[in-house]
Amino acid sequence: MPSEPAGPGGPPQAAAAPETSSPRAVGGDPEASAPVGNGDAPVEHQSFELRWLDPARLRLRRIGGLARLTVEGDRSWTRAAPARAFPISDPNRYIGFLDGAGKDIGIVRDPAEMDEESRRVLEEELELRYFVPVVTKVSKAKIEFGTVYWTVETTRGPREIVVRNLRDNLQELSAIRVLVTDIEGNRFEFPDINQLDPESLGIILRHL
Amino acid sequence: MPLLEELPAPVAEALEATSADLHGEAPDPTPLDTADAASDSPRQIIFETDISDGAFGKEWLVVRSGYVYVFGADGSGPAPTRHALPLSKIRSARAEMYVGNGAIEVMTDEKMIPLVRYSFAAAAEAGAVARQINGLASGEQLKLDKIEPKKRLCPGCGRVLPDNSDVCRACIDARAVLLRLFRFLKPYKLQAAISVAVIFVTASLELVPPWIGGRIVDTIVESLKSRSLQMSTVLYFVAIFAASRLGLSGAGYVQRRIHAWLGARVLMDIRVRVFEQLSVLSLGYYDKRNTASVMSRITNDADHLWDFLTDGIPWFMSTLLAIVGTSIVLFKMNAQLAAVLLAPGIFVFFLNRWFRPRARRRWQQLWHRISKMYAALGTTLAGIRVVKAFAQEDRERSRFRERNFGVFQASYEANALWASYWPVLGFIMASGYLILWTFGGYKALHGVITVGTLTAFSGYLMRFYTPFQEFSRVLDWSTRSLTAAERVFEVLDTQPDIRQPDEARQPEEWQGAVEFEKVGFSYDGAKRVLDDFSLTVTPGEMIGLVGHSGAGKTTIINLLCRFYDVIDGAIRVDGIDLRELDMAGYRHRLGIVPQEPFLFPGTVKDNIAYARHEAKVEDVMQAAKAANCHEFILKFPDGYDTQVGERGQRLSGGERQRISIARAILHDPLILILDEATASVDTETEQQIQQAIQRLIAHRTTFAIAHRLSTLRNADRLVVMKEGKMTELGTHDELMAADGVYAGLVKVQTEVNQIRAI
Repeated sequence: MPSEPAGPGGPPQAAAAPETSSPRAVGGDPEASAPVGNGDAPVEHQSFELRWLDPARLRLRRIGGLARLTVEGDRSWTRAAPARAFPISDPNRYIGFLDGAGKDIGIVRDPAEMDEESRRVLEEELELRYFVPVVTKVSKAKIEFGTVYWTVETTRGPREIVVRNLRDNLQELSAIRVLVTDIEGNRFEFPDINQLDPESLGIILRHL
Repeated sequence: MPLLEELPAPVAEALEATSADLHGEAPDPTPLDTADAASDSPRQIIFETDISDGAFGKEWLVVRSGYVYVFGADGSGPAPTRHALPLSKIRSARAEMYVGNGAIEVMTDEKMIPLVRYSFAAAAEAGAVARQINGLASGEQLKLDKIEPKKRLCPGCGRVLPDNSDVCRACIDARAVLLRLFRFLKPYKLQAAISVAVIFVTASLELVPPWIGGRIVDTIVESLKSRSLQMSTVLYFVAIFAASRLGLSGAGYVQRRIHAWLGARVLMDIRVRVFEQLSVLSLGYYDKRNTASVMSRITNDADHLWDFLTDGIPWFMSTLLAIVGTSIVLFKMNAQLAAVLLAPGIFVFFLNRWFRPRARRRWQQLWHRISKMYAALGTTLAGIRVVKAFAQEDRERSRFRERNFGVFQASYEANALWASYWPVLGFIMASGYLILWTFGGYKALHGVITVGTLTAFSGYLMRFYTPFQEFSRVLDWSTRSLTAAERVFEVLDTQPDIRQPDEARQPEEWQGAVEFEKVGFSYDGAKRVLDDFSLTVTPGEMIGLVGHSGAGKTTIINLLCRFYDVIDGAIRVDGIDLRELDMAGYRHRLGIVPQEPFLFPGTVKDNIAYARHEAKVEDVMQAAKAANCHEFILKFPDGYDTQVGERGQRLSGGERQRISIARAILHDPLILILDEATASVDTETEQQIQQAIQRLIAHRTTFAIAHRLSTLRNADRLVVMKEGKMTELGTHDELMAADGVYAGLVKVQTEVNQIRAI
């Protein structure tokens, strides 16, 4: 793939990529993400190339309750929302940032390289965006007329889970890891079905 | 077959006479004025029609030596000449379809002449003939392709073949099919051998209990006679009885397990083989069949085979062994008695043969009526608003009652037949006991047989009759299974039309130059969808294909992908004919963004990386970004891990299309095909897709089909197609200046857009 920029293993593109005349149509919405830094010269990257954000130059701060993202020496976004590109297969890397209007700001390959304060704000923001309780213990499980009732302990506290039609509401993330969507649309993760009680394991295996 | 190779004798005579008149004494040496003697194209057309003078009858239309002749059939002697028209006089010809028949009509300068009429049986050929006359009249070469008949007959017996298959149920060579089926067992010889052995053991062990019963009775009777108790002998027989029962249970256990394993295993092998073959077959195979019928080869047909292998064959073997074994034992004990007892068995067999087809007819009637009732129910409920709005509830109620009554009647009749069958069958089978007790009792009283033998006989009797009852069922069953087997083998035996050449070539350097040279193609042989198409495309050029549907745009794409092979001419990529090109290598350099983006069940990431599984996630994201889909994917709860396809996240048409473009970007093809990539999206999405496409086509040879001409404004050249031919070629500006078909299309679309804007 010689034509691909940012090839495999290549260095992350500098945040302040060489300026080109890029189409405005897909650029950031100036209203929602007013450039704070160099105010009168909005810097836009080429909108069809992924913009790799350099974690060393990223500052994520909570200002006025909002997470403000600053690329040092470039610009700021008053409200930046992080999103995991691979929330299931690689949740801790590839964090993308969207601005207040939902436009793509850029992506961080490994947020662990950011400064401590930024990591903390990122943690908070991700905790807000992703609420997927992981089931740690099943205290009761039964299946009745095709509806499954679970009483469970999760990483987010105890909960009753009711799943109708498990077959359609079960997502296999790997051979042992499954995601279950309950009757109201809440999602629960079973990190290792082999650690479950025999009853629950039986119920899940029947639908795999 | 309406198109003949040879002239029928009376026509040949008439033709000779007529053409001698026309050409003077010396017949014209060239059979067809326009035919190239060196080419292998046909030199004449002989079309035999089936309507003459408004009734069924033969007439012949012959095209040769620059003339179109029509001859009638007139009993004996030379056929009367109806028409003899020089091709030079013909301006146009066409096959006009009327109701129940059609006519080939030609226009001369003066008038329209109806040449021949024909029924639907010859319609496809008549169309081809008319087109050929048209072509010949304008100085083209004769090209007659093979036409696939609608009514396909079995070459063996002349019966009509089923749709979607060439397997004739009447002509199945049962032995060959069975032998081939057994070949699937070859890898599992040991299991198959054990299975056969177990069936033998079971069949023999089953003979033991009634015999033991007889022996025990005899022992008791003798003990009573000799007044000496022989309990030990009785116990001895009881022990044998117990052992045989135990053996039977054990054998049954082994048999069931082995068959379950063997059957499922062989079924798996057959399915894998069929699927592998299906994936190899060219698109031409799928054109002639619908997906459901191809699927049923893997599902239904393979299931029939499974039934046959796991239940049918073992059951057949054990039934056969039961009849043979029981007969041997009975005849050995007393041949006379056994022979007499055979009579009801044979009767049972024939009763069954008589009964089964009659019962089946009634059941079929019942199913038919049930489906009619469901149909009435379905339409009424689906149209309940209309029913209520027009206050037709009463009518719908009475209609439903009527249909329901039909179901009741059919159901009663079918079950009533069963009701009379079982008692008759029961009585016949019981009559065996009548014979046994009368005839056998007489013999026992006269000391010809022992009481024990009589007891044994009664024990064997039902075992003896049951197979007769079931035998005709097996016959039905095996016919069905063998047909299924044959259909499966048909798939396995089909040779793909498109094959990797024996000596595949690769260009020294892939550049992406494409050359069409006088390409001609037809899907069915009847209609040329592409004719004399020539175009040279330089690497990196973008070609826009424009034209109405059916103009041949998609055909060009299909041929370029080598889904089909050209009939005339050649397509060359980097100087090498497609038919000689290494197919895998070529298709790795070919990318398609289809009109209907197809997403496979799996994650978004897997779908983008479909053609390059090994691609790094960063490359996947980069491709997604270039295709304008990174942003919306990031907003999905599961990001790139989102499940799409069946049961997955619902994506909009534009999102699917952009993922499909990302797939093509990641694939990084040298030659790119955009087939109506923006057909079904709104204008804003189209713009986003347009941007994505712009990034995609850079440095690639691109062929783009689009109905929205604005999509093609970046094309280097536009090809305007009409009825399989290229009518215009040039840049947008050139074509607008020429004010031809393209300019007209642009004008129409601009007006439509203005209306939309209002």
